[in-house]
Amino acid sequence: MATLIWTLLSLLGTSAFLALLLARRRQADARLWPAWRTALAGDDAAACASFRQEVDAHLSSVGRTLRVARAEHVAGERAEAARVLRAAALSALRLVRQLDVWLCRWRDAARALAALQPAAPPLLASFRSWTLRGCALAARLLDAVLVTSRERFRARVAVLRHALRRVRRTFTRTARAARSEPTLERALRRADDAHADLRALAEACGRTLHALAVSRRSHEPAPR
Amino acid sequence: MTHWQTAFTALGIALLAVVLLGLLVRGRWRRAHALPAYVGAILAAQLGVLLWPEHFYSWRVWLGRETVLGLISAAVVIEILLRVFTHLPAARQVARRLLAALALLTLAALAGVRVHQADTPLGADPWMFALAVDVLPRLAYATFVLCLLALGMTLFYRVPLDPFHRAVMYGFAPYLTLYAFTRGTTQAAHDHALANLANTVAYALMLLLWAHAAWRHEREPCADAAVVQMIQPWRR
Repeated sequence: MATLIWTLLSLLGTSAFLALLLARRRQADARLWPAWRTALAGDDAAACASFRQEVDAHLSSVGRTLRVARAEHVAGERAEAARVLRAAALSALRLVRQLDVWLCRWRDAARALAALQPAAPPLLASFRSWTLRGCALAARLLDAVLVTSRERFRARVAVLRHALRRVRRTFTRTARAARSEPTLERALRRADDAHADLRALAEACGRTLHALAVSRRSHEPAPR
Repeated sequence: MTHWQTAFTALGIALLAVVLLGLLVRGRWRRAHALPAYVGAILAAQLGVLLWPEHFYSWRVWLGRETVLGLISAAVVIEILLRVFTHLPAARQVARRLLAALALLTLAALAGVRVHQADTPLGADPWMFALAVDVLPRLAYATFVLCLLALGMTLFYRVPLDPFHRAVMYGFAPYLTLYAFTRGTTQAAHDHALANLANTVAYALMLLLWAHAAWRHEREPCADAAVVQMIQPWRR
């Protein structure tokens, strides 16, 4: 029985490994890096405009060449018409291949975006205050428990706002304590800690905004 | 030890030294910190077997060594898996959940190990026999599944894999599955020689692949520096 089980497991595992090897060979790194550049680039409008411009220029060229071929055919120059028609077809094929390359790159970029979003909740270790570490723990627990990205995003925002209220309270106390010299040293220490916590919170807010932008881009309707 | 065993041990030591030297000289140890520990542990154990066989060439020492190496090999693959997705939050989260699920399955499989006096060959300790033919193969197979997980996730998320990380997993996967199969199925004494030979060959091939990966010159990825820094932050 053990022999049968190990044989089956080994066969299954080896098949899976060979399948992954074959799939990996088809997915060359030279194709993946441009997809990641596309996924991480921020200027979608410029990319769309550049794409439209390039494709329109190529299509116009193909159209012009076809018109020349028809004109030669009407004029009775069959050999010349055949030569020009072949040139138009080859040019159109180049555009078809390029469109296919772009589509594959965008498909890979979509997967890359899936790896990037949503942004991770802030780490407990990035905060000095125990209260804020509690908020970070709450954010992590909610992130693990909640199902949809929308719920996770809203929970994340709620926790970050609560954390910001705590930091605001700390700085308000610090401002009051700074008026009197005996409490100045403690106020300075508290301000240092709160400043570090505020930096961590700002980074978490930045990641949340990035997640929102990425999510918005993925739901935009395709340009007509 | 026979002459063949001594020769294979010496060859293994030479290959391990080449791998370790390559990791240190080329700086590849920075890409997987647990790997030099793994290679160093095997090297130390093999040197012990070669130089002091009366102390180190024994059933108990072998079991202890294989248990430690099994755990370190899992640590190597887990480290690579988490490193690859350092700056990819969603993918890292999925990786952690899959790791947790695999850990639970492995624990359940290890909890199912039964020690039967009746199945133990004459003269052998039942606990050590169960460790050799049940626990170690299951641990090796779990590490093999980890390799598949890592390769599958990089494929799914279209992550360009570091050539060194790829070589480590391509070397580990066949060796671990063969190890699990041969240790889990060989019960009779006459099977041991063939199983040991198969394992030795797979082990040597793995070390050759790692030696090549540790020493070869790598071209920089043809991509923007910012993109490379995001996907492979260990590159300097």
